[in-house]
Amino acid sequence: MEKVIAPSTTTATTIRKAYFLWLLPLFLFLWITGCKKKQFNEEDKAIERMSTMSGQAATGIRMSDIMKKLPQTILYALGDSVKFYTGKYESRITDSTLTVRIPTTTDGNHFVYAVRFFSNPADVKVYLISFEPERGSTPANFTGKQIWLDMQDYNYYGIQYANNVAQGYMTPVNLADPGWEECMISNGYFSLGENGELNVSDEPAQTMSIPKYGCWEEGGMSFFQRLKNAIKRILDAIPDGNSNGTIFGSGGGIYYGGGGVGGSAGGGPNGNFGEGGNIGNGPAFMDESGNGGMGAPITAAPSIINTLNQYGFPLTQVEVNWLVFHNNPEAIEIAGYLWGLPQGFSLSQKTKAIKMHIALMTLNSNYNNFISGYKQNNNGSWNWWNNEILLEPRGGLPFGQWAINYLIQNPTASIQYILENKNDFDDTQGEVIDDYADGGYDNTIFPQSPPEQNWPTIAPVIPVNQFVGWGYVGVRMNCMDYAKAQIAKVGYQISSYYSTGQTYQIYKEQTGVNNTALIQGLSYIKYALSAGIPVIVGVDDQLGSPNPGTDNSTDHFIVIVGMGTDATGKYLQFYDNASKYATQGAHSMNRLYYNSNTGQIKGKSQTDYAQNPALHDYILTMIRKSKLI
Amino acid sequence: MKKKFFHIIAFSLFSAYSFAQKAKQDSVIILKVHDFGKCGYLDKHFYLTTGISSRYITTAFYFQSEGQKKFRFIPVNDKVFNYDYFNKFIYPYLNQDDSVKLVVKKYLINGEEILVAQKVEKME
Repeated sequence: MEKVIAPSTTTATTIRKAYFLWLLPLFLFLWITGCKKKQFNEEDKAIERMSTMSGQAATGIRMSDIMKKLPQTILYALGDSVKFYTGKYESRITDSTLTVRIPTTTDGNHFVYAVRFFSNPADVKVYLISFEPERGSTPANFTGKQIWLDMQDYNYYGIQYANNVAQGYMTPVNLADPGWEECMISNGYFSLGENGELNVSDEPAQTMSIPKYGCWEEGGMSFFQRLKNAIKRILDAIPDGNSNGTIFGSGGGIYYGGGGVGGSAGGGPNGNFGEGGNIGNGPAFMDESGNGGMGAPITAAPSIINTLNQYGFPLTQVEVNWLVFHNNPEAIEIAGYLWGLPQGFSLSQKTKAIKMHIALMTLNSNYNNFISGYKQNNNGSWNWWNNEILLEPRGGLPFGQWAINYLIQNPTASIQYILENKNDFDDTQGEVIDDYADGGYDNTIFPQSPPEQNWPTIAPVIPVNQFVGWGYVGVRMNCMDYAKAQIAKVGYQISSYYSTGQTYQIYKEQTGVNNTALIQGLSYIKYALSAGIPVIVGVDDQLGSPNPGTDNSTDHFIVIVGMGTDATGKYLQFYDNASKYATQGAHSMNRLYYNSNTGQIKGKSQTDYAQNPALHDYILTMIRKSKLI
Repeated sequence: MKKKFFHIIAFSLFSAYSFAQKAKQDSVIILKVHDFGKCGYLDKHFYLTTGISSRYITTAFYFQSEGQKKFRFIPVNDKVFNYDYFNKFIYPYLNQDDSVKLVVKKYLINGEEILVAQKVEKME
């Protein structure tokens, strides 16, 4: 027989206390909002109460007050499916509170509530509320569920009604810790995709300069998706396909206990919200200029947005909302500037830049502060994004896009920091494999032969006086860029790393020599040099690599310019940009020798850099095809 | 109480040690440059002690100490180095074995004094 152990008296008391602690906010909320309501015609002596308010109501509630409490990343992810019918807002005022509710659907079942307590007018409380009527429910006699999400603490509540009488409550659920969004942003869970869309990662990017916050441990797509679905359900009750299995899916997991709140919650369906403008002097809900009487729907955007739309740049509803809510003309202006970026930028690039700009404005307050301050400090002119002054010298639009992504993932980093210092973008243009896909590929068919056979002697295909060394003016300080500048001297550029047949990975620290790639790669070099084409290759000179995401072996890039045979063996001659001086970098003894026993192609550079005893001889890791500029 | 006392002592020792590892102050040196190029290998102690991110160490001045065969180098702190001035007035005219005047920070790392270039100045 199963033994039942009753909880001790102390435990039971503790449980009851915790139970009532959960109920407290529930009672408070019902008191504020007048419980549930379906009819909003009675003004409930609001005008009389107004007279005692001594103008506090004129403070109103702005849409931006509400938006500050809503998670922008989720709104961004929900896109056009979220609508705020601000023209249909209603308001209620008491001696202590001003409450505004804005429907998010046309059926009158889904709302955003905003409550301003006059005791603390700076803090507007926001709640998302949904009424889910059941069969037989009427506006006068509501039967169904009322659920709401407290945006202050992300607690999720619910009450079951039968004919306006509360029958039970849902076990409250805490969906997230306050500050979860900031934490996810700071920890790199969000990024922007190719088309400016918001991506959520299960494995956040590591930030080098910002330590990970310890305030929030859970992360990733599943958490974000669960929260998004919860909010989506409340706002428009159309859960998307991912909602199954969450705590809100298919009615599962919601527990309605019996009784407990029925008597206290008895506000009934009698509404005491007045239609906007009916409650007396001064609007309850204000537009961002401080003027009252929001009559227009939120979709009525400033002219610049219409202009962008006319030019074919489609803003999502959320993006429009954001621009309108924040009433940020500078932000809109900069979007317009991005749209007008000079020639050379494709439509998709411009679209991406604008979307990223908008997303960044949404996610990063530092960005907002910067653009506001920048205009002020530059005689009112916008030139931060000026292509010639700022973008071009730093890498053009890709730099801008990188900067935006970086700032999203590092909210405490400043724009100035990025502009004035060497940064990750420079790194990615350097040691990291450059996936140079523009301009097609080299698909020339060349004869293949075993490495040791057909080893011609070819003098350097680039004259020594065209050597590009370290510090070469106009090129970023990294070996890949110098190598690219080197082959550009004779009209070539590097081909794509990732495209099939454009790279031969002949050696890795972990796996050694790949003989098939070795034969193909060396055959390519023989063909290329015979045709006067220099070839960029990667070399390994120390353990590990700055490229853990690629071959995890390459440390440095050099340029193969010639080949031959000497007393030591068969060699490839290279120019090494690790030195400023051709006497070292283009030294005739910069040679990598082919070892037929090991398959490695290995040698010593004559640069001071390579004399460092902590480095070993260069071992050729990858051969990158060249193509005409 | 004993525990607290121990913590204070440990903290003091740690602080003193850390202070000793930190840079004293900037110095000015004249360096005969054998090469200006890619910075060689620096171990993690360098980055831990100096607090400089590896992102900002790309470049170095190479030189040869008197009577020694091997080359040594002074890494450049890209974050603070005045490249604008260097690129305009120094780099184009910098031949091998020319001298440059560098403002450097000194660090004591594993008993060895390491210099990091902060700035280049005009030679008198």
